[in-house]
Parts: sequence; structure tokens; C-alpha cells
Amino acid sequence: MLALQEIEKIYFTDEHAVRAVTDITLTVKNGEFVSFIGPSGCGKTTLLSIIAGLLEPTSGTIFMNNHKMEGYSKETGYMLQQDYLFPWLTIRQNVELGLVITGLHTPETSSRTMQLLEQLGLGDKADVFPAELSGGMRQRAALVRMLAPEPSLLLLDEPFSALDYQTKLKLEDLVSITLKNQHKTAVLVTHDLSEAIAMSDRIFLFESNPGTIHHTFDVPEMLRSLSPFETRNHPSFHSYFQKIWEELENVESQYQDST
Amino acid sequence: MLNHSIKTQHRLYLQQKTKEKRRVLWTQSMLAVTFFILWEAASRLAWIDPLIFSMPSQIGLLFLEKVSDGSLLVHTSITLAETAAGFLLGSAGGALAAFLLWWSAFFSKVFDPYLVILNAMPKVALGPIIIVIFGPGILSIIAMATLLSIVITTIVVYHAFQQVDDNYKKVLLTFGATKKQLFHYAVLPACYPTIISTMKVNVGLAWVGVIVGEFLVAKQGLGYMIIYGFQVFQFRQVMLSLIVIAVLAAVMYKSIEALERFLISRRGR
Ligand SMILES: Nc1ncnc2c1ncn2[C@@H]1O[C@H](COP(=O)(O)OP(=O)(O)OP(=O)(O)O)[C@@H](O)[C@H]1O
Ligand SMILES: [Mg+2]
Repeated sequence: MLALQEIEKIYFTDEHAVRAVTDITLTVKNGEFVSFIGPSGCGKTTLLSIIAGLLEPTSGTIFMNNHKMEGYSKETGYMLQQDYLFPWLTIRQNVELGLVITGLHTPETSSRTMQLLEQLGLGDKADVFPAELSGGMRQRAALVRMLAPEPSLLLLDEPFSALDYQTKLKLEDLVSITLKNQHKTAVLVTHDLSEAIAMSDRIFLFESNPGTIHHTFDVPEMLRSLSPFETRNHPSFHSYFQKIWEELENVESQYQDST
Repeated sequence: MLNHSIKTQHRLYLQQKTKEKRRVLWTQSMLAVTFFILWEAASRLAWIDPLIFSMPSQIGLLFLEKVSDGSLLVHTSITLAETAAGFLLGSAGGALAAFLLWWSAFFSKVFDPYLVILNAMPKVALGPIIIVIFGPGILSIIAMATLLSIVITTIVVYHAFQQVDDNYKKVLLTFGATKKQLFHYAVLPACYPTIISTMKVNVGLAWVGVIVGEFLVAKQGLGYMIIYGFQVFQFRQVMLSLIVIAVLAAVMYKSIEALERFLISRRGR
């Protein structure tokens, strides 16, 4: 279980101090898939970076399975908005990068990673360079790179937002199924409400200035068990979408009134 | 059927390309030959002063003479060794300094104004100081060549290190990379193109440093041949040295290009 307790982050710049997020307390169960949505600048990326250990919170604590997490933990994997595959390395070298850095690179982990690459349909691309791949293929390779050292908690910062719609739908399904099969816990940041509903078990709606959790939505059981694509096509999807959409509108107008 | 015609067209396209390449090469050679013939003729017909500009045939004779008595080989190898040493010290030293600046933000802030001054300084003006420190010999010449390239290499390479997209580092940090790993796996490979192009510039700078150094102190070397030829009004010798320098500098530049191609062919981009 991932537990955040009263996380606060203040950025200091020459001009002023910005309170990016404050009073964030939440838990994510093992194997659960949750999403963060909210207006731009409400601190979603900040919070994700804190969980990943890339940023230190100004105050508050994070627990992972009842152990305090500080800095880098080999339990977490992080996927950025763009793939950031290294253009000078082949796909094989790229996806094994995490193994090399963490010192886990052995013939076994390497062949396991190759299997995963094959499962995601990139088996024949192992020895080509990223420039020769399409956007969707590159993002799949980035997914394999993240999964290679076998983290149990996955942090996804808008991983599909740079893709075209069709590729995005396919990749949502692929990621969802891959993570379900491997019983991973996942936190997804997204701007796309329908993506949040399609993929997650729970949705945290954030508000800005300062960034806090405004509301938590439990996605109905019957949508949860479906794949993202099936969820989008389910009759109850639209009404559920409408419900959260109104709340989202509230948050955004509230934000605009205050500025 | 269609496939067949595409193949034919591709062959035609390749033939066109080879033909064009040949034409360029032929024109290039003709240009060079014409230049030397014109030079020879102009000198013989006294359109230009043969004492100053000499002529290719005379230079060729001198070349054979200096090759057979072994003196050209000695001069050339000394200059080449100095240039190579200056080039390597300047490039490697500059890259190392850039690495240290990247490693320590404090260091780089402290040294920033000094780098600006050193870079703006015309290094050749330091000639007398260098000679006093390193003595009137080969060491001073190498120091001059090194000094000419080391500061600009430091600045350019350090700047490139800083420009590397933070997200590449972020990827590595999510795997818990150390600072050394960040440098090895992200920063350095991302900067290979800059490092190579800096090296190309450094070849030229090393030659400048060595020739100026030889003007000032040497008793041997191609720069010495130039300055000596000038003093005794032997312009044949000056011209010969110039031609040898031009050829060698071009060869060095081309070998860096070959290194570049080798590195890039391994990177796929
Ligand atoms: N390095 C930084 N220094 C100073 N302020 C920052 C820094 N990074 C983010 N901020 C500020 O913190 C707040 C939250 O930023 P963050 O990037 O976490 O938002 P976000 O929810 O991810 O936005 P988006 O949806 O646009 O990606 C913003 O007001 C931003 O200006
Ligand atoms: Mg963000």
C-alpha cells in the first residue's frame, strides 16, 4: 500500500515562494490503479515527482508497504509524457538501461526484458534506433524500459498525451492489461477525463492554488472490470463522465474566480 | 512489371549520382591543375615576380632535394608531433575542465568570469610569458598550441553539457542513477557531436599555435622553414612549407571526420 501523509511542497524562486501542493493525504492499495486529474498547474507532476523520489517534499511523509520512503526507491517506476528514449542507443540498449543503472543486468533479467518487448510487439525492433520507430512504438519501448527492473509502483505522467487518438486507445488497453497481469499499483496523471475513467479504479480530482485534493471518485465496479476500450463503449460511461465533468467545471471556474 | 520498372529507375538514379560525382571530381582536379599551370606560366613569363612567388617546378625540385637529404622529413615530423601534442592536450584538457565545471556548480560559478577573460584574451600575446616559463624550445610551442584551443574547448563543451535535456537525466534518476552515471550514460553521449565539431576547430587552432610558436623560438619545423626562408629571401622554401602544411592540416581534419563518421554509424542517427 502507498500512503501519503500531509504532503506539502513549496518551490522557492528568486521572486517568490510558490505553494505547489499542500495537505495531500491519500492511500493507494496494492494492485489499484488511480488517476490524478485537475486544472493545469495544480501540482500533479509535482506530487508524482515527490512519490518517485525525484523531489523532496517540504513536509509530510510517504509510506510504501509501511516503510518510510525517502529519495529513490527501487519499488517505483516513472514514465514521462514523452518517451525520452536515448537516440544514440538501440531499443534493446534503451530498455535495458534501467537494469544497467540499478546493477540488475544479468542474462536472466535481460532475456525477461526481451520477452516483454516481444509481448508488446517490438520483438523485431530490438536492434534498431528509436528514430526508426513510430510514436506509439516508442512509448511502448519506454513502457518496457520502466518495467524492466520490476518496480511494483508505476507512476505515469500523461504518457499518452503526445499520441494520436487511435494509438492512444490501443496503448491504454495494452498498458491496462499488462499492469493488471503483473499486479502493479499505478498512479496516472492525465488531462483526459475519459482516459481517467477508462483506466482507473479511483480518480482524485485536484484543485489549484494551492494544489489539494478536491474530491475522490470511485469508478463503479462494473466499469472497473472492463478494459479501457470496453469502458468507453459502456452505456453507463457517459452519465458517469457527465457527473465528474460538472465537478471539474466547478473546480476550474472556482479557480478562475479567484484570479 | 511495376516492380521491374522501379528497379530500373533506381539503377538509373544511382548511375546519375555516380556520374555527377565524377564530374565534380574531374572539375576539381582540373581547377587544381589549371592553377598550377597558370602559376608556372605567370612566373616564367614574369607576370608575377618569380623571386617572391617562385614556381611549381622549382618548388617541386626543392621538395625532391629536401626529401632526399632527409631534412624535410625531420622538419615535418617535428611540426606534426608538436601539432598533435597541442591538439590532444587542448582537446582533452578542455574536455576535462568542462567535466570538472559540470561536476561542481560552485566551481563553475567561481571560474565563470575568469573563463570569459581568458577567452577574450588574444592568446598569442602571452607568447613571451610562455617562452620565459617553458624555455625557448619545443615545450613552449606545444604550450602555445594547447593554450590556443583549451579555453574555447572548455567553454563550448561545458555549455553543451549544460544544454543536455534534463528529461534524459530524469529518466536515469528514476532508476536511482548516481552523478557519475548521469554523466556517463546521458550527458557525455548527448554531447559527442559538439565534442567532435570542437575537435575539428581545434585542429586549425593547433596549427596556428605551432606555427606562431615556431616563428618565435624554433630551430626546426615547418614554421621555422617559413621564417628562415623569409629572412634569407628563399621564397621557394616558404612556398614549399606552406604547401606541406596545407596538405597535412587537411589530412588531420579528414581523419577527425572519419572518426566522426565512425562514431555516428554506431549511433544510427
Ligand atoms: N521547478 C519549479 N520551480 C518553481 N515553481 C514550480 C516548479 N515546478 C512547478 N512549479 C509551480 O508549481 C505549480 C504546480 O506545477 P506542476 O507542474 O506540478 O503542475 P501540473 O498539475 O503538473 O500542471 P500540468 O497539468 O500543466 O502539467 C505550478 O504553479 C508551477 O508554476
Ligand atoms: Mg504536469
